[in-house]
Amino acid sequence: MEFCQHLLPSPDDVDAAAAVARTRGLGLTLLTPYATDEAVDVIGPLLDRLEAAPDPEVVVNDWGVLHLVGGRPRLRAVIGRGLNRAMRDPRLPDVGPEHLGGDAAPSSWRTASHDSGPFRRLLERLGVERVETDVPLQGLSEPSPGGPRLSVHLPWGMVASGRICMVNAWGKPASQRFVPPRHCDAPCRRFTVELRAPWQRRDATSEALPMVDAGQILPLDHLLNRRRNRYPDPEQDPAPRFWAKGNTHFYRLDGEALASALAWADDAETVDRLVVAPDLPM
Amino acid sequence: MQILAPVASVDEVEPLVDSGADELFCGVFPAGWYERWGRGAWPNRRGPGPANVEQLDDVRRLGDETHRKGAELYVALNQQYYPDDQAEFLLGVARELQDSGAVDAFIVTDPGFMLLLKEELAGCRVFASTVSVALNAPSVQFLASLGCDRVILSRHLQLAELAQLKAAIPDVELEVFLLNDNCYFEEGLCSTTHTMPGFGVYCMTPWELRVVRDGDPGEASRSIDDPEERARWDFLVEEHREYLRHLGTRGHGGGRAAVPLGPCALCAIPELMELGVHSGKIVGREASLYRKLRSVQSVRHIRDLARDGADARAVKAAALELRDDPAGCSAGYSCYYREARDRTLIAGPRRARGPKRPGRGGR
Repeated sequence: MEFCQHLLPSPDDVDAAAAVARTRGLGLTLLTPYATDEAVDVIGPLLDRLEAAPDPEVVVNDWGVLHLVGGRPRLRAVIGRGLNRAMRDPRLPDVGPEHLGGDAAPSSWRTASHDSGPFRRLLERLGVERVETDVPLQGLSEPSPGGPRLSVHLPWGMVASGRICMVNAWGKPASQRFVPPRHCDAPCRRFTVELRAPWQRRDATSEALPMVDAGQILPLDHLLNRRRNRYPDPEQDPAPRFWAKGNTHFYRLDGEALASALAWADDAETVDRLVVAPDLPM
Repeated sequence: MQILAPVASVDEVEPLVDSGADELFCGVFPAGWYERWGRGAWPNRRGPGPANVEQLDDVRRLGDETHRKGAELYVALNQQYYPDDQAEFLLGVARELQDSGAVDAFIVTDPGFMLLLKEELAGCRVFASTVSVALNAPSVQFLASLGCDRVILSRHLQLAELAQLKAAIPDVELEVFLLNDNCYFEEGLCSTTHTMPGFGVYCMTPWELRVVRDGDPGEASRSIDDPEERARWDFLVEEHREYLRHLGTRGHGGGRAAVPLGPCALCAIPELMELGVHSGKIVGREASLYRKLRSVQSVRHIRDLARDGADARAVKAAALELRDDPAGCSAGYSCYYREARDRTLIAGPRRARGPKRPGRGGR
């Protein structure tokens, strides 16, 4: 729902969720994706129903949807991670000075829109008080004081999203493959594509280039752009893995990265909400 | 429809404008940026190198020459977001360029930076970059409310969607992509960095792909073991690989342009003009002058045919003849607007719907 307009709930679904929220004394948040006009027409009636829900909130990932929510004083808009721009490239933890001509990684890799003064002034003008964020694999610096309240997504982070969807193309003729679909029966709810990278995780003490001269075994056995039915045992495999769920690529915070993200969230004064998805968020 | 072309040096201005460009755009990687933020942070969507002009004096000369030739110059400051120190630095750059009169508009993504420019620089024109992800009429209205004078639409907006959007906001100036580069993801929703030595472009990563069937909640996902189903996924993965090849120039021959051009909307020019799209963009700031010229000449040839009254079918036939790539045009994987093709004009073989079945001459 957060990234695909074909996964929006029906108005009745919103009513049903509102009824459950009311019974349990909870607020209700509606996630909305980036959207064409056709989908904006679908989102409008959902907002109508949401207005009757307890403590209603809308996560927006599209400036046009924010424009719609702005006309409804009962709804609180939250800037989603699609509009809170950040460097979430999952390769960045494996980038060393050798990739940057000897330069250090720039500090801007550890910030996001929510930390920028001009962006904050825009949010104030729009009356937006909350922003959602991922914690990239390279980490985030402590938010500067005075910004919006932050919701932090764990453990799945968005790498990239778009309207071209590989699994949507399954079984379709060429004319309908790899174009933004007009309709979709959501094969992403049945299938996931796992992505095994052709590089190795950089050892903090290593000066080797992950793809060029550190992977003596990996390139030989790596099926470039090919499908494989079994992967090596993850405990023995030096290659990082990511996930394509529908039209969006994700990374996952595990082990030390997850602990570090939690510590960051704990230290940051403006973080007051964790958004935890047990499965890939789609 | 105006033709917007990339430019990287003052020497390119005259031949580009003489070939048909009405508007030019460039990037800037200003002196002082590198010393403060190094190679890893970029002021726009391209890194240091031939895609960017380094000296502001050169941008000024570029602007002066562009104006002498009767065209306009736009400068891309369209990174996804700018931390405070970068925003302040680039505001100074923009002020200097604005005061010199060399630049007609800035192409911007970060909505906070848009506001900053509009507040701080009187008379400054701002265009919303495609990285803003404008897919619907309210988003275009929102960007216009921030002071944007033009909105550059997503590469993935289809013609029917564009028509719906334009009908709702007939007065906003719109720009679309016409030639040379596509993105797998929506550019504004791609949080990766382009082209790092040793890594390349994220969406072109040669992954190993494993498709799994999701388990019920709490259960592990399962491999796909049925041979026929596996063959269908193998087929899709191969097609996906072919599609990725078409996002750049690798899937294309030189055609009549005599230089490999990339993804293309030449067939759709009649529809785009009918819809009232203001500008069509040619991408590739880093390309050779020869490629830029052949791109501009190709677009101008098709645009002028449509403008001079040729019917849409004749224009599409001319576009196909110019590309001279029946297999590529038949696949449609390099089309910005695949629905604009006239299949009756395309001689190339159609791509298979699925894998060949064993026993029928296949694997």
